Amino acid sequence: MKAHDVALGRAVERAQAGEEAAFAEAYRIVHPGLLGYLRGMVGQDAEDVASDAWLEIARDLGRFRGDGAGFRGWTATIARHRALDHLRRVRSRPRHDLFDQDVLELPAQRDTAGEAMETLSTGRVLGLVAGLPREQAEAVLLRVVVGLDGPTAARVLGKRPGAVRSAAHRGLKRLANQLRGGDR
Amino acid sequence: MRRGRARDDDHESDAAAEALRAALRPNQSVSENEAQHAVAAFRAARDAGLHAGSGAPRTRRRDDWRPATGRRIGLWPKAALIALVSGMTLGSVAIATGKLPNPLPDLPERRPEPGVSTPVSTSPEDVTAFPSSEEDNASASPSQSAPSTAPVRETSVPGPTESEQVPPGAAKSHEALCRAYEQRTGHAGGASDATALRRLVEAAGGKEAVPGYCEKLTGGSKAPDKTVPEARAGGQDHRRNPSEGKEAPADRR
Repeated sequence: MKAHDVALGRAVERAQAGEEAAFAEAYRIVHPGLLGYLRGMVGQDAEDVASDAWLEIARDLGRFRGDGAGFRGWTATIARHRALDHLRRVRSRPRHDLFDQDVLELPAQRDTAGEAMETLSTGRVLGLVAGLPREQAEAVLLRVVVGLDGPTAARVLGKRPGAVRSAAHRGLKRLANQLRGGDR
Repeated sequence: MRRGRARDDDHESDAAAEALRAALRPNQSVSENEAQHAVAAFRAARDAGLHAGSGAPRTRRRDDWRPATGRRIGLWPKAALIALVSGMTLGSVAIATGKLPNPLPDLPERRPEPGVSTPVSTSPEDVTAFPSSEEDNASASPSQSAPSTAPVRETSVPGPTESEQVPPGAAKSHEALCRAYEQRTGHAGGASDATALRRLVEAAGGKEAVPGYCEKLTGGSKAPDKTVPEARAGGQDHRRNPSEGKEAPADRR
């Protein structure tokens, strides 16, 4: 991750100087995490929301100040705002309704956590994430899927680092319990 | 390598994190179409001069993700300077207003000085002068805060009527304290303000000195308003005071 961040920081710098290939490189480094985060947030609409977010990132690149890790935080903040806008638009159709069925169909009991993990589909994971309280789900997604460190995730969420750390901890614990088929 | 970021020693939480990443992050390489879309937007913005030059938009606070340490180092001296300046300001105001510990041994020595310089009344003059030297210590006016006797003389000599008719603020407050003290000694169960009482004891120079101090103070401040005998009596009869509009609010304490 650290090496990645250094490479990302250099790419962003060159992109800000106008180098197109450098922007494409930054995109390739950052996009998978952003898309994973957006999948957790808005499900199947993630690609569209990510596309909107990248338009904004490309437009505002000149405003950004910071290194590679900062660029992850900045882009995650933009993606999050786009996702929240999207959720407001589709509020009439809450996202967890899409996945409740998957949650119910989870395998009841597994011998080991690892065995259960291997068989998990994206839909089931989304269902589990959707079942978490919002702040836990977001903290887990930003820390685990986007790969932000604690303080950066806290800034993205506008919360104290301690609160985000414990939310991520509790969210992961709950996910692990559910994956194990335990009683939460 | 992201495993450590889960900050969770629980193996299962690590496994859950791994499952999340595997399920949510796209397996296949980034869609070339989407990437081209983003790069095209980048090109358009760059060519429109949005990324650099005079047309570039300003960096807002939410766009500044430079490491916090760099910014904080810049903030610390500023914060320290603000704290120092405000501390000195408040401290000097506190000294000027006499809120900080007061060298009480000064009071008896300086009391006769203005008394001699006050030419108006005969018997209560010491008492009248005493509050004005009190004001010297306790008022916020910087011109009167010098410990020399010269300013005191200046305030009492040119306008004796003024300095006598308008009792100094500090003397007023001590007077009110005195009345509260007398009331308290009168009615044992009365509500008392411990801090105020302590201030009064400090001003008088000791607990035993409080009655004498109060007698002088209340007698002296009334002297200009009333005739001398009445003022003398006022030292004992504090009930007369609420009828004096000017002192009524202080008396209510």
